[in-house]
Amino acid sequence: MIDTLLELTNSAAGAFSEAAMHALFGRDVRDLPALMPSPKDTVFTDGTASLYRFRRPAGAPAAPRLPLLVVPSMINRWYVLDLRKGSSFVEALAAAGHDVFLLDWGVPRDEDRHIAWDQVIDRLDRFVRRVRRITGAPKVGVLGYCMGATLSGIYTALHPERVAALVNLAGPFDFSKSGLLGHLVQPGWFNPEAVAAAGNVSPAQMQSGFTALRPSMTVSKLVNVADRMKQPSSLAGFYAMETWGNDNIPFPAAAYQTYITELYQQNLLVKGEHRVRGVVADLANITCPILVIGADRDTICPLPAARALIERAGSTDTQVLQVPGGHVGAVVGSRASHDLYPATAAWLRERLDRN
Amino acid sequence: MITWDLWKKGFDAWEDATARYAELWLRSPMTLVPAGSLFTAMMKTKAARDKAVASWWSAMGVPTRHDQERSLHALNQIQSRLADLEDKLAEMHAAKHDEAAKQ
Repeated sequence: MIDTLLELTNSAAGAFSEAAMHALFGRDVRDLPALMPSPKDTVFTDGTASLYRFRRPAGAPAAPRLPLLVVPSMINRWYVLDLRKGSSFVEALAAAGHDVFLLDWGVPRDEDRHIAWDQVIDRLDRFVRRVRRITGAPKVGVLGYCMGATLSGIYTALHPERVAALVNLAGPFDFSKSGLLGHLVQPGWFNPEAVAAAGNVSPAQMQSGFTALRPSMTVSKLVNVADRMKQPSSLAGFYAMETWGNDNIPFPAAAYQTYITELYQQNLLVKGEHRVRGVVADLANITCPILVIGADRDTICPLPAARALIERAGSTDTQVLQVPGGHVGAVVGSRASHDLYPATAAWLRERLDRN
Repeated sequence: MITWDLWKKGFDAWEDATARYAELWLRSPMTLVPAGSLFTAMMKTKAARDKAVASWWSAMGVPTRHDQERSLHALNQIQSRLADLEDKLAEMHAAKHDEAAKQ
């Protein structure tokens, strides 16, 4: 019943946004620029997950010696990193010459409720191995976004010899500093076991959690887009963000239970007690260069939660880059192509050529 | 234009105040404890209902949705393990090739 209620609410909000857009702009959404514009090939699949390799544009600089694997979050669809032309992290990285691979976790099916946390890390390992096998490279650079960054950090702690450089793009490590979202899932009032027992966490449930962080956001973003309606790119950006924001996916139940219990509630990762297949994922094992990117208005992963990776890791080559914006806006906003994308591409080139 | 700008400033102030007020409520155990209990009860009800339906089908000798999910999950795991084996074979093959090239 709760799923139906939440889905009805979200559908109503989606329909309202679309109707408002028609009323405000009088334009057909089909005229707007395509999502996921960067050309790519699917080079490997594992269950619902796929490995994409992005084609470098003609005239791009020579690729660094080592390839790059981008690991998005499992909570949302991957294409926030390839949203539209000019607002695409992978497009910018490929244009800077990087050999970019991306792990698309896919859309979990009902049977994926049994996918455990350990199996998620196994899958990431499988994809890293596949990238090494395809390219012949001994190591890869890993760029994780949001929960994908947390997974990448855990993976690097378990297999430091396979990662040449690690970029943590707004991924929490110290969950005691994860703000309101962390507070909402504390054990006093939130029972992840009960949620997981009911099957995969539905997209509506996940969405309602994020909406709860700022309930007035739905109205606010419509007003903001009306405010900027004279700029043609703002409508395209709004449409792309709305499409992505409403395209939510379920979360595998068993993995969700571990994620919330061991990381959000018990904060085991920074305590050095988080185990994967019985092995402690000790962040001190990470010795490769680390770049932590945090957004100054990020309420999902505040900068201190992300910076904890550097504080716990054994790396000497570390850097923190603070960018303006929120958790998503910083990655796809208009300023990202001027500061975030080139800075990350340059940082990676130096490390992936050196190793 | 000036009217719009003024209205927008007012709206931003309202939105900011509303968000802060909502966060105060959301952080309060007075809100979170009952909301969490209700949510947990709903989830437990859903799980109990699914279990009851599965037991009924099971009593009829029909594989339940849960059985099918487990079987499909096992098949997916086998597929993943095959990929792992394929990788190991490729590694061994490459090592053998390197060794032969050295000789």
